[in-house]
Amino acid sequence: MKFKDILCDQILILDGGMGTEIMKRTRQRFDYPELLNLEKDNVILDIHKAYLEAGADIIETNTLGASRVKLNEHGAGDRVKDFNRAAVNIAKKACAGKNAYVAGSIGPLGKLIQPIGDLSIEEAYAAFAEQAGILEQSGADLLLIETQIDILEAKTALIAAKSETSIPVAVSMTFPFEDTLTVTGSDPATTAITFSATEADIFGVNCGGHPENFEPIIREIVTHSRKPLIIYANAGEPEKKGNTVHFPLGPEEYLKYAIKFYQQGANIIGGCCGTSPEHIRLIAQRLKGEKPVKLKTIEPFFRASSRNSILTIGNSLPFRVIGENINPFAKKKLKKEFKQNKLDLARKYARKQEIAGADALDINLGKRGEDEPGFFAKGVSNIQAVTGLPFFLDNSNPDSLEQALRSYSGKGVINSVTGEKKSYERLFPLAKKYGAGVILLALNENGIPEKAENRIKIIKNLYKIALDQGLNGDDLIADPITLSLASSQASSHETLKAIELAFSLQIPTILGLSNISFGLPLRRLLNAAFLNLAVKSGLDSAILNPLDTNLISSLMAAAALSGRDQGLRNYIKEFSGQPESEPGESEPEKDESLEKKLFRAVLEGEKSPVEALIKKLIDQGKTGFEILEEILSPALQKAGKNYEKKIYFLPQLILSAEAMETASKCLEESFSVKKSTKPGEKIVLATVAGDLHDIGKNIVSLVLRNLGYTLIDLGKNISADKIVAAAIREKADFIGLSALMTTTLDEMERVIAQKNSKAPGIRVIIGGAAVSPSFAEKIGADAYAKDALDAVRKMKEISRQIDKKLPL
Amino acid sequence: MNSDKIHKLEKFNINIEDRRIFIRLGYGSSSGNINDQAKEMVFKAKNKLSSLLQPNAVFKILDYEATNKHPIFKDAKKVALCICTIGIGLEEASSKLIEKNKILDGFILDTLGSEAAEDVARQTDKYIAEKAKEMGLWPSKRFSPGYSIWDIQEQAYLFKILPAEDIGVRLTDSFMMVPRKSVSFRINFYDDKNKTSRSFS
Repeated sequence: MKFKDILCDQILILDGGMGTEIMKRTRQRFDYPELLNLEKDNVILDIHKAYLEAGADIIETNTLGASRVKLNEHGAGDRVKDFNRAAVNIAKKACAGKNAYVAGSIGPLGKLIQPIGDLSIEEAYAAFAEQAGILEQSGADLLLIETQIDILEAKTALIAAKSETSIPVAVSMTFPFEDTLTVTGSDPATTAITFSATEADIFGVNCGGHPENFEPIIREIVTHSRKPLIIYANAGEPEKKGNTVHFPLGPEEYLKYAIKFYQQGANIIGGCCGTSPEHIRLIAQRLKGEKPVKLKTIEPFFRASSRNSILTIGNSLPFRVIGENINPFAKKKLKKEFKQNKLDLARKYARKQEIAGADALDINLGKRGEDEPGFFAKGVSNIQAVTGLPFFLDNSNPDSLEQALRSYSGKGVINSVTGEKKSYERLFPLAKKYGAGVILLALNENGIPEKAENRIKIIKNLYKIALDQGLNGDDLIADPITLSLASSQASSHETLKAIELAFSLQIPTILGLSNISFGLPLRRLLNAAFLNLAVKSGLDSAILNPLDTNLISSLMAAAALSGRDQGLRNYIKEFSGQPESEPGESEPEKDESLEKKLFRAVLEGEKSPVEALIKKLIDQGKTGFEILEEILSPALQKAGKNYEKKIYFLPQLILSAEAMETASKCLEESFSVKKSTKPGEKIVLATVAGDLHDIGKNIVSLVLRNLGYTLIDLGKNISADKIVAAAIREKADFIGLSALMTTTLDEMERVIAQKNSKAPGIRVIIGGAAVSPSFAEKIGADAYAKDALDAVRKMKEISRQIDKKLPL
Repeated sequence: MNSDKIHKLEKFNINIEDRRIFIRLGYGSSSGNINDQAKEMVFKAKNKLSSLLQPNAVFKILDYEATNKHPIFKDAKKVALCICTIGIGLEEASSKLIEKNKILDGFILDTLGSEAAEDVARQTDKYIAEKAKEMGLWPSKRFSPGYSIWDIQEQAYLFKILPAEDIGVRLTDSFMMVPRKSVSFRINFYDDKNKTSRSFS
């Protein structure tokens, strides 16, 4: 039986950890473990044998870091062949006389691909192709591209391995954090959709956090992918004990998780870091040879992805909007920019459409000439850097499409393939190779059929050819074509009929909307009306302008009316609270109140409207103090809460505080409003002597003074004398000290000693990269604060205790 | 090659990974959370970055016997001492932004500066490592004063040996470098590869 058939027929057992076993046997650290393949091959042989004896069906070569790029880190890039060949030989030797497979391990390169990293896609491809080729030639039975942290890198490895070899290839991703995202931000569904569309023979997850984190990850994956599944986790999260690293889960405990992997649908199960032959023995005894669990078939949706989001389109799903605005044929400004090889405007449109709520973007960089493929690929990659949305690659040049697909992170969509032989013969293999979705366009050598039935015939025919070529149902979506109403009035009726036919065949549909109104006045009106009819006929998605608010509002109403909006949730969410107005009456002020606008400006860190809003509010009779207390402070406090709940990150908090600062300055300068200092709210802040780093202190200062504290910021490199003198002079309640460099920590102790002798009542809070809670305790500081908001908490706590006269 | 020579590097093609910037800005390692505003600000800052950088490095390779024989040089045949910087321009621009209540812009620029300085050090390190190999010796990893047994006061020794003023770097009383975005380090050259993986290397 072929490996792939065995895989579907019975559970196979993969071996366990390598690094921990090497450590156990040698009690020695090596620069990099691949060195052992040449210098201590007996150790590796011994480990392989132990795993085989424990019952492993597949053993992995000791080549995780044996690519040229990775070996270059150790100055051993020219020995790629030696390391990989030796590793396979050792594994083969261990397998002699046994019914076991050797999997050639291929790990990450240690450098990320552009534009996130600085490695070119060509260098990455070459390194993977080289290693895969050597592993196969040396006799590996399959390849395991594992511990992958970035989908573009893993995809590049897969394409290289598939082009270079003819053995089965598995891809396994790593989710290092509890929030189940890869290092470069892909969630499990995104990785599953991305690799389900590729030629990977097996897909799965290894290494990463605690195996209990795997349950939701696997659940997400099997929602979107039916690739055979490989799962091997670490024996818990590593704990440092002295100089050694310890993995807490013993064989029995790990087995419980292995059984869960099996129940969730895994086909290959083994162990990663910290698992030993004993772990594998228990798994083999329990699961080896079992029939894989049968999972439900996945929902028949069309699927696509970017680096960090997914797109699903289907009959039972909400209507999806694909943004049309990056298209130079509709926007002259773009055309001009593209001529100069510039992409600023395209990137801006990408973000605008994303913010407006588009589910994906159509990318047409239509530029003619020799440099077109390069420009398209570069453009796609650059625009991907600023948006999380999946892309429809709108281009008719196969070379351009190929280059763009190669550097696209995720599962992109080819827009489009037609019923013409030269189109599908060239583009279906591309989709297969790079793992892309495809729009099937209802036209062939004879043009666009007039009748709906004939359009669907072309689509059905294309659908069949695509499946024969190895594409899946979830890679395909049909476009029954919109023609201009001006050119043929009957055509719109046929388009709607074709949508109904596709709906009845459960083929997801998409339309390029704006064609309908081409050459006619008031195009937006026609677009909106036609979209409503199409939604009623069963259209699932359209390429349209998401910035056209009338169109989107009318779409939401149509979706609600045609059962596309469950419980009318989206409609109500979007429109509840909107003032009703009778036609003919003058429009009521639909804008939100000035108070709300100012609140939102500070919360979202928009400085520019702040001053004008304050002036208007004062004109309306609000006092400056009311503005400060009722609008500004609550807004920044909300930003602080968002930060603590991790809805906001540091930059957003800073922006919000900056907007608040602009507002306070305006109040102070134009209206002489100044908040009085309450007890417990006066702070002298400084970076200690010897330390010139004050960025962190500046941020703390900004946030604190805008949260209502009175700040005397002394600056950086300030001596203990000066700090204590200032605190006494200003009658401060607190001294806040920061230090970035470990070498200046002594200085903090000096400040505290001086303060204790001269003004023991003042409390000291310390922070900064070099400081820890235990250090704070050691030097007698009253508290350590990790950031500005933590400092607020600590100061309040201390003040409370002082009020209650409790000992600190 | 003449070991005693002062070497200067000034042609650097600075490369900064966005991911590292966002980590330094407080986003952790997952890029999914990064908001558009911050992304836009980082891109803008990156665009004007090159005009603010004056990357420079100066280094010298000494025979062990010619050093002050600090334990950090132990067992080395030769020792490369190096100071590199991205110049003062970026720091000044960052401070100006902060004064104008553009704290985040200043913070982002400062962060880019840290990464740029890291990259200059990385590239210089690579260059020096090549020199070691040309001499048939094995380079250690780079190591900076202020860590482990190499006290921060030893900065003074580096500044005595190297003409730091030529690249616009000076030392404060507390042994900090100005511009702040500067890196000083040593690389030991060994005759035996196994020595390169010892601690402090």
